[in-house]
Amino acid sequence: MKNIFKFVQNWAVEKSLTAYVYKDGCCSFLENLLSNYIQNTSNPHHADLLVVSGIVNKKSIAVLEKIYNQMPAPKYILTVGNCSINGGIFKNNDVIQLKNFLPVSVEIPGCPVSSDSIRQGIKELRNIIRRE
Amino acid sequence: MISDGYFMNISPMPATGMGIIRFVAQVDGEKILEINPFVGFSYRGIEKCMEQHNILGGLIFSEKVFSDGIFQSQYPYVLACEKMLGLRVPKPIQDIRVFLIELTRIKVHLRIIANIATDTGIIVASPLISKMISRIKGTISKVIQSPTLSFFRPGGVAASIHPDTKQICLNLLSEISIFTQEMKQLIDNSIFKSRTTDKGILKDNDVFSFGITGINARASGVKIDVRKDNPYESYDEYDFEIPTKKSGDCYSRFLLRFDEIYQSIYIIKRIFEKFSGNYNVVQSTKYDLDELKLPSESIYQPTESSLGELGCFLVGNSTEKPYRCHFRSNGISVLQAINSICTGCDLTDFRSIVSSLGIVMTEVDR
Amino acid sequence: MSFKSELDMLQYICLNFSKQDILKYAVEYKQPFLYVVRSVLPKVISFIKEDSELQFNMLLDMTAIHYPDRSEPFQIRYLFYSSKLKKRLTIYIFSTEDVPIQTISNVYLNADWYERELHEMFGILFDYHSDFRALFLSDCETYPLRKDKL
Repeated sequence: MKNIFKFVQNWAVEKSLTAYVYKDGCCSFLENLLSNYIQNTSNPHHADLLVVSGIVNKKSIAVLEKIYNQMPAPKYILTVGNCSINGGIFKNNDVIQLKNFLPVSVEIPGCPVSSDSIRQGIKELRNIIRRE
Repeated sequence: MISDGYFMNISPMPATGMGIIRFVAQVDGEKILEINPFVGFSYRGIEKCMEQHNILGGLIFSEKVFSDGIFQSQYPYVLACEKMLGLRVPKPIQDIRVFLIELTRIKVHLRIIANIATDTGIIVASPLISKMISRIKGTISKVIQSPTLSFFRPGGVAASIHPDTKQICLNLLSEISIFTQEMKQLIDNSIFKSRTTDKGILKDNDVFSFGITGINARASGVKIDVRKDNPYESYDEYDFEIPTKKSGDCYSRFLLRFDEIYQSIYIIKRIFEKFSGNYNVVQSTKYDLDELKLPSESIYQPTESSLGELGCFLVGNSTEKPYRCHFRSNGISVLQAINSICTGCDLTDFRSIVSSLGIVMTEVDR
Repeated sequence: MSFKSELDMLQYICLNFSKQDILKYAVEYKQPFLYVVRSVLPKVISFIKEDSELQFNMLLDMTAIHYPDRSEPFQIRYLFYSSKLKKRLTIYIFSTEDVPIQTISNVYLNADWYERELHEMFGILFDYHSDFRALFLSDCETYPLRKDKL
């Protein structure tokens, strides 16, 4: 019985993903590429996916944690581009990796990101949601 | 500091297309009494990274300062390197670079116009303008036949351009002029005028005390333009005008962007009248640039970008890596003046005022 | 009256100050610059702002360079612009780590954030300043742009 409820919930989340986009860097046209697959919102209370692109700082990790805590469960994180994965080309004391602080579901590498990688990453995310 | 009123946090993305910034406003009902910005969320340490790479590596870092305008932040760095190394650039290549810069200027102005319209309530303009911007970007990549990342190099450009460039670009220009007239009629109605007139006024003594350049200064009546005052490349051959307005409010900044688009179209048409038609340009190969050493001198090269004056300060010390590199950005000066611009206005107008100023946070934090 | 060249403008400025105050003046790549003794800086700045021929009324930029081998390791650069002459002028001063420099944020209002940035990146002190919190970085302890921090 519990399995049926879980299956229906996962199906509903997978087919209607709503994302809150935190864009800080120069992966351009990110919203246009993502809007083929996902809908945007500007309120974290209505989102179930947090998309992070661009560099993550010691200052901005506080902002990201606040946004993540306001999202209702089930929630996922998607990091786009090399800069949020391990800093990319900027090697600094200030730049940190996002996966040490928040649980990341899918990482999409690339500098800049190509549309093929985004399509494959979203397919991987849907598989993860379905199998949960 | 005023001790009455209620503190309100406006964060993390107050306006469309700006970046991450935090404002703390002291409000009384709906009126803003005082406002303070907090920056630093996009700090990447570009200036430190440029000291550890040679000239070619510096091209990649200098592009990340303002990545929306595609060639506009590489341009002062490339010009400064050429002057220090003593490289002469032939006339056709200068014309090609000026033409590409003017095309990206049109693109950034259109993007800021879409942001202003979205933040004032007219959300129908943004998808239409995005379509035209994709068309401009597609034309650029068709003309230069190579990736845009490091197309400008010290000494010239990286590849030869398409043989049919003149016909492609004149078609695009006629489309752009028809499109901007339609957009102006779409967005400029009585509701938009009542929401933006007399809001967010920047006075002309504030322009001098805060050191603001670019469109924000010209909309307040101060005639400053680097292309006319200290001309570089081949800008002194084209007789274009510098439009100004008097009131300095949000509406005049919006109108001035259309005037600048028309001036850019005029410059591109003059370039193609003079162009000799020889499209095989000289490339600067990678091997030459790897071994060149910067002399022990310093130079500051200012250029006019769509946001204001963007300049590069370079110091060399007879090695391949620069000793110090610094970018002068306009957004820092505008953000310091925001307290005198926004006091006394309503909270609902704050979003449209901030997006009409044209601030990009990657340029401020570097 | 307008000046015929940048060298004329520099000589006009140097006439109003004594020889020990201005260490050096030159024109490089068509850009004039001056080296000034640190204690004379407020007088020089008020002169170039209020003189009717010059009118340098905008401060565009402030940066610093670190030379760790010298006895006065920091070289601070001010960039001014005159809307009447349409020319730019650079002024350099030298300073050490412990001695604070007089602030110019009562004359040019945007020097506030430039001085805060120099303090957190290099450790240079300015006195009579309103606050010294970190602007871009998260704390004021590391000085990342110094040459011995790699």
